[in-house]
Amino acid sequence: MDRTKREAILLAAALALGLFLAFSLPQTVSDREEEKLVVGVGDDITGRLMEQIMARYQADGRDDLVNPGHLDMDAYLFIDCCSNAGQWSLLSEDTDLGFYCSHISMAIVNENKGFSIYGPVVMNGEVLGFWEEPSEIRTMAVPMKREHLTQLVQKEYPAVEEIHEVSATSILYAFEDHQVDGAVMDIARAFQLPQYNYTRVSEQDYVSYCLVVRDDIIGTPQFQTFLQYYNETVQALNDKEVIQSLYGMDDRFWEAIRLKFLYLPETGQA
Amino acid sequence: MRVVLLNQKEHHASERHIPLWLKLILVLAVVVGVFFLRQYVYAAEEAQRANPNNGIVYATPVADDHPTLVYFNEQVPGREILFAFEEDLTDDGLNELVVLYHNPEEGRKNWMVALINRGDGTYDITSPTPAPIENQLLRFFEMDKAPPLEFVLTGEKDGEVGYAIYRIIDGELINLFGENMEDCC
Repeated sequence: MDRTKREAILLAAALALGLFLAFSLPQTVSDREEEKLVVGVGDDITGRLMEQIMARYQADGRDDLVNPGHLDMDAYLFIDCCSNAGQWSLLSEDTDLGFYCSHISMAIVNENKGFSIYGPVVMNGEVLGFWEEPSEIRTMAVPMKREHLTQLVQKEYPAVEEIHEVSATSILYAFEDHQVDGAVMDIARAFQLPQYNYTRVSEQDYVSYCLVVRDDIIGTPQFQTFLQYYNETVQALNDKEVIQSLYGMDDRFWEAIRLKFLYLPETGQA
Repeated sequence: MRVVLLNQKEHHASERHIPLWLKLILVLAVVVGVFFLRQYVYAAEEAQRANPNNGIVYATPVADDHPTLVYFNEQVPGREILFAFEEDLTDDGLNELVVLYHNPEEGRKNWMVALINRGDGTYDITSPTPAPIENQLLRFFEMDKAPPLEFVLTGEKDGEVGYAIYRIIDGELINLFGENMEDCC
């Protein structure tokens, strides 16, 4: 083999090796792809929703979709989305996205850069618990900071004389202890006391919870996987028989409440 | 004699070949160039992913000479049209028009109405509701996969974000989101 041929082979080998390394070296921009997506949820209907998403996700054996041998998605429970812990978990990046009521969703995106409301997730997610007829309610408890709920009950029940803001965790006790005539509470709280009377908060549909996301996770494979499982789970839970088998309550309850889980757009969808 | 000299020159020129070390440097330069090109492409993709609009399809405004917009201009003259978007919002097979506009006689304030199609070339115009001042985006969607269609309106005012979800109920635009848009309107 003459010198020219040896050089040609050497150069071709160097070029092939160089190109292989250039394409096989890890990309600095895809570090996030190795991270787990943590979803913040309250101890409310969004927590129940996330339980079902995780159960479906793990039942499919797809816990290693992006990170072999590790969960790509996990849930972080905060007691109430309006609590400091609920907001700080997102701001401190302990969570990447979370379910929040409309008031806190707006507060987060307005007071902090880099967060967006991705879409509404739960409609008519609260119920009104009452002792006598709803029209006879004079004192009503409403979860703290849920300003839109206060406005709705003021419009829907003009006979109510006093509205008391009570923490979401205490509202069930205030109601059970007859401290108020009626109480607006998350629907998941009603599952704990199925023996009482419940009806819907308002004749008009309203959004209870939204999905708030950190902008840099939109488009990651984990987020797309989350959306896919979210939409599948929502479709299942919107079937009355499925949700009734999970959380009980009678037919009259489900027909009166009109709870709806809402669909989120996956990439490229309207 | 002249021919011999020329042949010698050609021979010397062919011997002045590029040295191996220089060729290797050229190969290295090509590889480094490819690597940085790849990083640039990935960075551009990442920037696109970080965009909150990524993957979400927002509505496209109709043209200025859209017949429904012309109707609005006739009924409510003197308004500066910002955007108008068309979709069937009442599930009757007829398209409605959502119009965002500014009244030049007012200060820094925008409004939104929907023109509900009567089907005979005329429209019912809803009561005006405040609309964002800047960066307005509108997306039609069926949030519960049941008609009628809803739409999300987002926008800003001096960095304050507004977000609302509207559905036409009993001939009016009703915000289902609860939070009003006073921060952005």
